[in-house]
Amino acid sequence: MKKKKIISLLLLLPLTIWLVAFALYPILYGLRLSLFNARINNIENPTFIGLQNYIKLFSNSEFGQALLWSLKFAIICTFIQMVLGILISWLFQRDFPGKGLATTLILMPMVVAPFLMGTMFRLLFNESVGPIAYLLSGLTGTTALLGMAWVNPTIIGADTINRMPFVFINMYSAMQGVPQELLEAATMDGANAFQKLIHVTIPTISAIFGITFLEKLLQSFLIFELIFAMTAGGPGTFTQSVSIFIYRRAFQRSDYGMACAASFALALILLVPSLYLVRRTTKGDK
Amino acid sequence: MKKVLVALLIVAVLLCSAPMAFAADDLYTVRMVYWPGPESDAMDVVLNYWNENKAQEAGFYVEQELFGRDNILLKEEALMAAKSPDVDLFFTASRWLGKYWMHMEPLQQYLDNPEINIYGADTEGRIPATVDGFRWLDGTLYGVPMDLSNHFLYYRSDLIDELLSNEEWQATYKKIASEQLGKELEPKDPADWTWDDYLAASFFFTKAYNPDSPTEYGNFTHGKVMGPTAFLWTNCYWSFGGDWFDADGNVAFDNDAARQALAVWKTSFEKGLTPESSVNGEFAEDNEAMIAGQCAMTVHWNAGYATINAEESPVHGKIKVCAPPAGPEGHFAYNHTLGVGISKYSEHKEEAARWAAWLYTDEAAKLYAEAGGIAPSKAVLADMSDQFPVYGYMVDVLNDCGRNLPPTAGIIEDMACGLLADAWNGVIDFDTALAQLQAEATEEMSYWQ
Amino acid sequence: MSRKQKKRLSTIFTVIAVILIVIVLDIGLITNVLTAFKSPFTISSTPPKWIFKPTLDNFRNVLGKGSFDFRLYLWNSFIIAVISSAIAIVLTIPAAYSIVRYHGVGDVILGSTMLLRLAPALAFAIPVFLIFNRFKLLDTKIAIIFMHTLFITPTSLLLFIGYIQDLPKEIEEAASIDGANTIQILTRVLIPVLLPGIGSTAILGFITSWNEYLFSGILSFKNSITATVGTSFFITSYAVEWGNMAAAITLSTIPTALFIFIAQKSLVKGMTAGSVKG
Repeated sequence: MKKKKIISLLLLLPLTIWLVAFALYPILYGLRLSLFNARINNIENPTFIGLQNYIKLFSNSEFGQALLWSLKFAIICTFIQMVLGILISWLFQRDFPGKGLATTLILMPMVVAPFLMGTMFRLLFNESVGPIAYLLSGLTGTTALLGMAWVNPTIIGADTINRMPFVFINMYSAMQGVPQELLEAATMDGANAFQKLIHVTIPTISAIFGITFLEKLLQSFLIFELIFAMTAGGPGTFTQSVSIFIYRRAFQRSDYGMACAASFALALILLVPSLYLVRRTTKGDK
Repeated sequence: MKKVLVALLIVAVLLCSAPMAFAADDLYTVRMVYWPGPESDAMDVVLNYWNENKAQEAGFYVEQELFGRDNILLKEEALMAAKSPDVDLFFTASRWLGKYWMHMEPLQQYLDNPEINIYGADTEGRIPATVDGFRWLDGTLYGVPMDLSNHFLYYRSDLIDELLSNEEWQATYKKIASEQLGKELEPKDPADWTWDDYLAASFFFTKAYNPDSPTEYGNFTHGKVMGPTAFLWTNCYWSFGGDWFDADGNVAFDNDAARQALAVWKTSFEKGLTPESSVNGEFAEDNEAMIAGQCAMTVHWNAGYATINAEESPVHGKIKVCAPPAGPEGHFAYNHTLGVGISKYSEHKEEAARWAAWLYTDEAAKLYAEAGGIAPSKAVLADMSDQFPVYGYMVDVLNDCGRNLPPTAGIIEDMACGLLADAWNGVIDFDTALAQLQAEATEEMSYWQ
Repeated sequence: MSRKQKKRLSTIFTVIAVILIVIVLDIGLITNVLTAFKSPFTISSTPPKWIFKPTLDNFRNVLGKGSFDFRLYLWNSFIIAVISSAIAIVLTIPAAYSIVRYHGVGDVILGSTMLLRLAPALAFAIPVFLIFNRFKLLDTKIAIIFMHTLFITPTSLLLFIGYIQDLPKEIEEAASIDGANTIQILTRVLIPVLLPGIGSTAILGFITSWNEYLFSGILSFKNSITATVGTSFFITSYAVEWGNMAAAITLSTIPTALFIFIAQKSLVKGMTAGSVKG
């Protein structure tokens, strides 16, 4: 029995080493840095300033606004993308010609890096010459998709194109696992396709549904590359997500201590939903 | 799994089929950091010329190492902090010098040494403001100015000509000016404009205020959260008598000049004189709007001229430039310079210095300029102004009213653009934004003294 | 309406709906590919042109532009993506096996790996940059591989746990009666049956690494620049070179698109096997 335990630990060792070296060590390093006034010009011997960075962070309304914006964005995006993801995978439960190709095409947005896609969206949504802005102008009544009035919906739309495929592939593969007998039984009872979705499919996949939902929520909350490319958080701080806030502190102002403090404040805020999610994810495996 | 391996193989073969060439020689290769874009395209030509014609005589090759534009400062600073001898010359800009002049080698001693400066180059051939841009506050020279940027007021000359000759338009102009600005204004030549004239003309050329306007919007105002946006606004700020720093080097944003300049910018955004999405627009978006004929004028970078007025452009021949409009203190035209300086930690400083000296020659400047860069050499810009008229305008405007930000401006650039943009977009009010900017920037500067 | 007709009608509606969905999702990619074949002033024309004389200039620029070595960047991306996903697989198979068969400490590791997936990646950026700087690892492929592997492990671990749970214990027991030790069981028994799963995990890992921008960007100066970062070089200090950028994106998307095209079925199957237990 003891031997077994040793073997189990040995098997875990490589992954553990990796996590300690490249995750735990940077985290502790950053935690320490958050207590210092650390900038590139004094990085060799930064000044210890205790909790000053945290005090400054929370006394400045900008961080709170960024959190709030991210929260709103995450809720809206998650809602839209979950609904779409489920509806589309539900559509894909039946057979139709070209299904394989269609699945591939739906997954295609995953193949472009979000940062690059965001930059191209700057052109495609451009007010003067953007092809997509032009196509959409019938719906929106304007091509100024990155103006004050439309910038939030535009970012939400771009994120949906970019990340809905993730929801789709999760939901679609989960639905593949729904036992056929359950669905047939429901058909016998006279349920229509939509009723089957609500009463049979979704309850059966509720576990993976919950996980995907929370994961999507956290992902959207932390959105960075797409916004960085499209608006850089502007106009002003109007679309500044919390990741953009940290990025600007860290890389545009090289205020490392503050950036680390903001990162840890953020990590603490996210810890509760994350832990809950981790418990849900790992529970089924025990 | 098999399929994956096959795909992997295909990709690998595709990639390997791309030949990779490496030059081998005994000569040392000087390594110079540069950033990718039109500047590095021009520098490529200069480098090729050097490596083919000068390298043997001088005793070394030169290559440029392209660090991405994002975070180039971070990366250079990392090399500096590590005292790395891996690069010999750093890429730098006049406004960044304040962050790291201490890691660079003073250049004048090498220029004065005829054994290193075998080309007899001196700093006299360059536009003085650009050379001064590479001096630290104590006057020490740290770099070679290679690429000059400045701001112009661009305007549609066909429309302005019409405005200056068409009486009906003039009547409408006066009416709109008195309605919107409460001032009696006459149409004038853009070179004589104040910011009031600029706004009046912007109103006049905006369809929402003048249904007969040939353009949809009067101007294009850059609004994106990034340093350069704040620089464009600085033209206006200077003309009302403000500056980023006062005479003692203290941050100076919380003042009336800033409020007046912000009001000009805010009017454009709030009244819809500029395309709605210009709140997130910068260089690229401005170009597209001007080419599309959407806007009648814009305060914009010199480099836009080549694209906006290109042969194929629908507005070709209808674009003119002059200095940005004036305030009570007169006209000001922002300019800054990109260039290179020698790393203090280089183990080949003499080679690097010889290369830097050659870059100061008109020979290098001419090659650079012909390849599309804007080398701030007086002779070269004058020579080439027949072919590229914009070079002539640059010299004229900069002689008249060119102005730099000090080398410490880069330190507070990000704060300035964020808070100023918040102010002119109406996200927060002027007083809050300026007070906050004043406090934050002052604190930030205290960490860099 | 007969049952058959009804079914046909529903198929037609499905197909129409799917076509619309595909258009909406892929319109960005499609217009991007079109842009790659446009000359600068075709890109700047109003209203946007859908039919135009295609040009290969952008591709020529991307592949043959002096110091801008796009081939090197593609090659770097490839090496980094392959090695990162390979290491991630080597790290996570034994760990997944240990977690499924032995529990105990494994659950803590599983928990922390999952937490990692949800953590703000940006929080690592500055510490990692400074640490790698101290160890003189900046601008090496290894540094990027280290970080990419870290980001691939959570998904990879989760998938392998799913696959291994699906395997009947009997095979292993038979092997261990025959005298095989744990390593032999892993390499001779487990790996062969896991191959399809390894395939889809590798693809997901490859895509994750290939598309990663933030860390590849910070950790590479010149020698280890990846295709994604190299493409961003067309956002210059002046204009964005739209045409060149679109061409570079098109080129750098070919490998990942190829993977999805070839392996879409096994990808979905792999996800199903790995996720259903939830």
